Amino acid sequence: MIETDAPAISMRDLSFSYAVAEGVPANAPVFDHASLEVPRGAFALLTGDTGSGKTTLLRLAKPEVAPAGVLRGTVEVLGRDVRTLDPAESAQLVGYVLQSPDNQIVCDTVWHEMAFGLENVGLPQAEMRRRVAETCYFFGMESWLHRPCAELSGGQRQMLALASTLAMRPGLLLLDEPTSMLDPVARRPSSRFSSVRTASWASPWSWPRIRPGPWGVLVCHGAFEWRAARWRGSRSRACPRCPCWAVARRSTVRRVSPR
Amino acid sequence: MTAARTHAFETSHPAVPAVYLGGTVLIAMFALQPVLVAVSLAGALAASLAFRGVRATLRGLRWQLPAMGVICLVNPLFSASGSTELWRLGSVVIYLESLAFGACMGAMLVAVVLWLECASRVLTQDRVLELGARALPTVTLMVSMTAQLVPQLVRRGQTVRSTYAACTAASGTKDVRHAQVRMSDVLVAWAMEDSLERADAMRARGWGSTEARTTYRSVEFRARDAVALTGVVVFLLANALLAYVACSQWRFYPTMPQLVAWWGYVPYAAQVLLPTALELMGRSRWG
Repeated sequence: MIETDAPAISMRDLSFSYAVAEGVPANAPVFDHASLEVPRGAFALLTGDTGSGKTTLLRLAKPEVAPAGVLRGTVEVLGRDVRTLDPAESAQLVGYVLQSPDNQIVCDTVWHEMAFGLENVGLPQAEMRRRVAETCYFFGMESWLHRPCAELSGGQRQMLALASTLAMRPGLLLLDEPTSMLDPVARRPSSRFSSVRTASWASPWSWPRIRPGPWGVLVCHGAFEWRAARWRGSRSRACPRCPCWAVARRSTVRRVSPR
Repeated sequence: MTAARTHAFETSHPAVPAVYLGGTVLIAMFALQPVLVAVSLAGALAASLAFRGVRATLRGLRWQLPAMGVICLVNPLFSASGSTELWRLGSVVIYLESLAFGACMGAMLVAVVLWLECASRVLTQDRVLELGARALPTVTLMVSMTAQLVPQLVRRGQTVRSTYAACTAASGTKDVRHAQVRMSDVLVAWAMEDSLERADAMRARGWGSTEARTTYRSVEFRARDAVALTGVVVFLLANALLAYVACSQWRFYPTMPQLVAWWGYVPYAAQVLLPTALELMGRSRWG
């Protein structure tokens, strides 16, 4: 089970280099002994220049989407090694939103897309309906819930990608450039994803129970966005060798008891 | 582009319109008797006018009417049977019976095409997929993804073309074949790149993680749907029986019997006019 005092995510002594064909000299490591820890309830930002390995680092926390290569070190989410999780557990523990919203939309309509992950892990009908309704209410998607995904705008698609991941109620949410489809003015992560950061939501269907949101959020962003957000917080290098930074600060998240 | 919502069968489970339309198309295909074909064609035309509008129906009839005429005229050339000789073109004899058979055949074909076109309006893709989702989740998802792929490729094709047109340096080639090869090259590479990411996104959300995959149903099969479905099935079976009786007393060759007024045509007329009536009722109620 999930340990109650473990950090949302902790990466220790992580070294990774991309796979090469046999007989070819090995690639230079993308990171060498990188360590990163995001405490529970935190909303952390991973920044760095293009090609600095932000996405690679983020993907390593989700074995299903991790790149092929040689990995050393441990990645633990809420105290559990991600490589020991079975796919259904992993889908429910770690939510990953990819960079491009176009490519991650699988189904034809908005409601079906939100239900896709829930169907995959075999949730019962009533639970799925409640989660889709809650997520839809939380994001204010009621007016376009029945629209075909092909008709959505870029921003709506991005929101749908986030909503369909959040509907799984992941313990840790990983966002890879979540505002890439938005214009630079609207890109301020603090404003755009404040709703995710509050991370507890109440829905009229489950009132007065407060539903716990993700325990930790790790966002991957270009340098511009986090400067624009004027984030203060401890800034630390994830890896002594690579130019990848983790900026974390404790957010206003309420401590929630484990589910 | 998506079609406007239809009112007929809007609130019922998709199984009800699916069974109704499937049964109607089957009866229309097999009931080759002049009155039944005429009734079916009239019903299909009314439904087409109600669901697809006057313009789309007329646009369809532009090719359907000539097709009907061609079948009517071609049949006597291939099947020279019958007893009432009309004309003699060299060695070919045109009989009234085979002309009538061709006309019936053509009208039946047009009616079936119209019914299928109406069915695509009533049973939109998501409703059809919902029917199959439980039994065949993977196939359903594949069909839905393929159906999305085609319009997506068309859209991307336009994007690629306009991008080439905008870059004067890139749009240099005048050779049409070369331009097409380049375009399909871009589209295929784009689609393959997408598929890798989409596979990642599917796995990230637990695709294939469990055998016991559940299906989200946006419409529940309620008691009233069961009642409606039973009603539709009984109605269809009764009409199929009446159509069988009517067809067994009818023959084209060698001579056609006299058509008489019969009460048995009335239920069939009611059946084929049902969706139109439901649609008009829904429209007058909801605007």
